[in-house]
Amino acid sequence: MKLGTPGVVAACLLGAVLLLAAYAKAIDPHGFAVRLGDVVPVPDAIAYPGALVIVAFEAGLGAALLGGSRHPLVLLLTTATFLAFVGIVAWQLVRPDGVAACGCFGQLLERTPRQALYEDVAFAALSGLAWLGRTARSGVFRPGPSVLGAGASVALALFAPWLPLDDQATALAPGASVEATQLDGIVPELRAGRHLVLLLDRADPTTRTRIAHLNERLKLPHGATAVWGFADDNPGLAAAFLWSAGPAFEVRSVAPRMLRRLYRTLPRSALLDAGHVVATWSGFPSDATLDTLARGELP
Amino acid sequence: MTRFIPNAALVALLASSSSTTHAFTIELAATGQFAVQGSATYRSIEPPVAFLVQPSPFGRPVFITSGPLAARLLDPKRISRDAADPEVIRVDTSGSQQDFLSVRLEGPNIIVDRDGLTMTVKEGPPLLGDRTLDELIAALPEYRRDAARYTPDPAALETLRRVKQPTELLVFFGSWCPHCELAVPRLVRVLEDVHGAPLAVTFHGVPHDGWASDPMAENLRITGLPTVIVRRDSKEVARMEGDQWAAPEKSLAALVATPARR
Repeated sequence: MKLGTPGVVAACLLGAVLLLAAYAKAIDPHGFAVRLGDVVPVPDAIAYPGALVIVAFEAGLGAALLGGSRHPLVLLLTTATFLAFVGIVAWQLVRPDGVAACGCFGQLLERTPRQALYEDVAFAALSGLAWLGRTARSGVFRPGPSVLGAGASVALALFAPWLPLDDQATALAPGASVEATQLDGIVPELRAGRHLVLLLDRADPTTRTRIAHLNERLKLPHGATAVWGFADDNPGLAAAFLWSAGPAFEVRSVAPRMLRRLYRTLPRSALLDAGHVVATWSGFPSDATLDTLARGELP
Repeated sequence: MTRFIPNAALVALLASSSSTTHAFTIELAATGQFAVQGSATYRSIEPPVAFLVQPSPFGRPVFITSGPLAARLLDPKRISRDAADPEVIRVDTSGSQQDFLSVRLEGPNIIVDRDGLTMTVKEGPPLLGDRTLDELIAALPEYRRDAARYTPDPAALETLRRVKQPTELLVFFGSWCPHCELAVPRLVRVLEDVHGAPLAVTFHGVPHDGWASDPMAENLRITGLPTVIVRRDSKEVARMEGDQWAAPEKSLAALVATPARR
């Protein structure tokens, strides 16, 4: 095996990791901006543009590596990026209020800070390996792949809210266990039986007017499918929503950070059966689906 | 926020909402979490939320419904008590609805007024200090209702019934705390189901304005509500906190069977 081979493999692997990380962030840029705010104290006005810059940077760097470039600047930026990740994750570990789960890949691959730390240390080590066997040809920086990668990732991030990517971008996806959603910690009943879960924005007037329709269509509160609403923990809004919308189902308050893992836009709905998510909907289910659920059948 | 809605629209809305509650009847139970001075307050057992206040300053019981918020005077003939459970009452909402009152929400409080008379449904005063299980249920009857809905794990209950060593459970909670409203009734159900086991339980209500004003919570370094301190021979041997409340019988069974020394 030539000395250059491990370097090429390491560079390609890191390029793929960076592209995957950029994709995971680009499919929910607003969610990434929120997580960014959890990690680094940045004003809200800067968090979203900052998230887009990070997405573009990771995709551009990943594309350069996958495009075969091992220019010193590319390799230095790669090493610096993974060392920065190691530093951030280590800081999360020592912070008393560090985020519970993190990592480069968002909800695509959710890890604890400790798992993410080991992973980032391995990637940082791999970035050192990428320096091996550089040639005159591989040391050239060709901007084409980087521009293409960065442009495509920003375009994806800008259009992502309108693309059907909720199941990829969130922890509420068909096949996921109720434990993975963490909602069973609030409503243990979700671990068994069939339940329609509604993630709600209590401040949204359209949601408030839609509740009466849901009550009637699902024949609540004595319908065949149990219904649970979840919304951000905001006592002021909770009382106003309860009285103005009149939900014929329980609406439980959830810490915003926990709820944000489960949606990109509100409202969002999911059907749970026997402790697993079996279907999800952006918004509320259609009337035909609600009628099926009201009869106690699976849609 | 005052709502001025034509009576006809309210009639239709109330009729449609009551049709979903079957037979135009809404069941309500006494609540200690909301109060009107000089009156008894009842809250709907099933959602959507509704309150009945009787007597009221308006001469007749006031019935407050949600979706949208509305209040009206009720003919007492529409109210009947449950023969089996004196704390449960039923309100007949069939037929035409009239005598609507002006109603608005101010924070968590509901203000009802008509002809210069005002009635405020406020959050009830917090339950403070040490309470027995019976005192807790008497003060917060909705805890018993929610306890009845919970089904504990039979194996964990059996483990708790087999406990031989006298064990004290000191439960820190807030009657104002939404998480406690969800979690504590589960423990109430467990305690009712293991009646006779050597478990001495004290519920300690803490004030709304922070635990620093409660010396006991401060001394025992309570960091979240609700929290159970498990004690044997007057020494703390374990705590039940956070996610452990999802199935308190399982958590307690594990703690009481093999309590970790702190």
